[in-house]
Amino acid sequence: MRLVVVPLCLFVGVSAVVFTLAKLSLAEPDVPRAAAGSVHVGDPYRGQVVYSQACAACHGESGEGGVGPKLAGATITLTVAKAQIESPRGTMPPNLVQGRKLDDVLAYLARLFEERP
Amino acid sequence: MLGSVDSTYTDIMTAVFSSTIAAKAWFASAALLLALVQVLTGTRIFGHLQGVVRITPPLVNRVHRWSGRLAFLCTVPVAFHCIFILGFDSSEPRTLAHSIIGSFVYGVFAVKIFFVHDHDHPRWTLPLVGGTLAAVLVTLWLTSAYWYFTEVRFGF
Repeated sequence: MRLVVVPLCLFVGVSAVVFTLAKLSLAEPDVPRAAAGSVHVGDPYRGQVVYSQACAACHGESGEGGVGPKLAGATITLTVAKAQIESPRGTMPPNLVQGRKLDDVLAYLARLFEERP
Repeated sequence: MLGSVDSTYTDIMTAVFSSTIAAKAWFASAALLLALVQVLTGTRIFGHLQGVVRITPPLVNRVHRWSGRLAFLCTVPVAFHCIFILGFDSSEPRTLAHSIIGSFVYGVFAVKIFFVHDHDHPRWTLPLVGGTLAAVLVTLWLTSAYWYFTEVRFGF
């Protein structure tokens, strides 16, 4: 009996604590309201993945620039960044990210723009 | 809520890796590799794979213990990132599966540690629980680090 009840309680108890903490995600980063302005932003960590997939080839893995302009520390508002992604000017390809991925990548861009050398 | 913790964690990880996600993928891969050592040495302790794992007791027991400790340590930054920063994500099937199975990993680990210290259980118990823990780790790695390396980028 002990060999069933104790492990079962351990399994359920520890898993429940982990599940609850994951639901709370206590250290989930906030995008500063000033940076976001009226632009709806998502999750910067998911945005980092989207950025790696869709943007890093031209703008650099850390936003250091490349074929595309440098984004780390750039003085661009999120409104301008969103407009550029949605209706790109220059050589940037259209429809790179849309929907929730766009919100997430904007949250990550807000972090990149805040970086100072 | 714990924004400063997140920022400190990010600073530490990006001092070595290109991003926190890359750090998570590599720590998870190290944990997986050590879990493989765990499975091999655990099997050897139970008298199998003598031709594959050529180290003998008590050394194999020591390797098993230390690979387990190191594997656990490797999971700590991964768990911190997953639990406290990313949180439970049900937005797509991959992240939902990862979140559900990830919620169980320390529960299974706690059960394994219980049976390691308990000496009054059937002989098949530890291989079963240890194998379950290894299977959980493999599934978690496939739904996160493997996805990252194949779909996003392979690199530090």
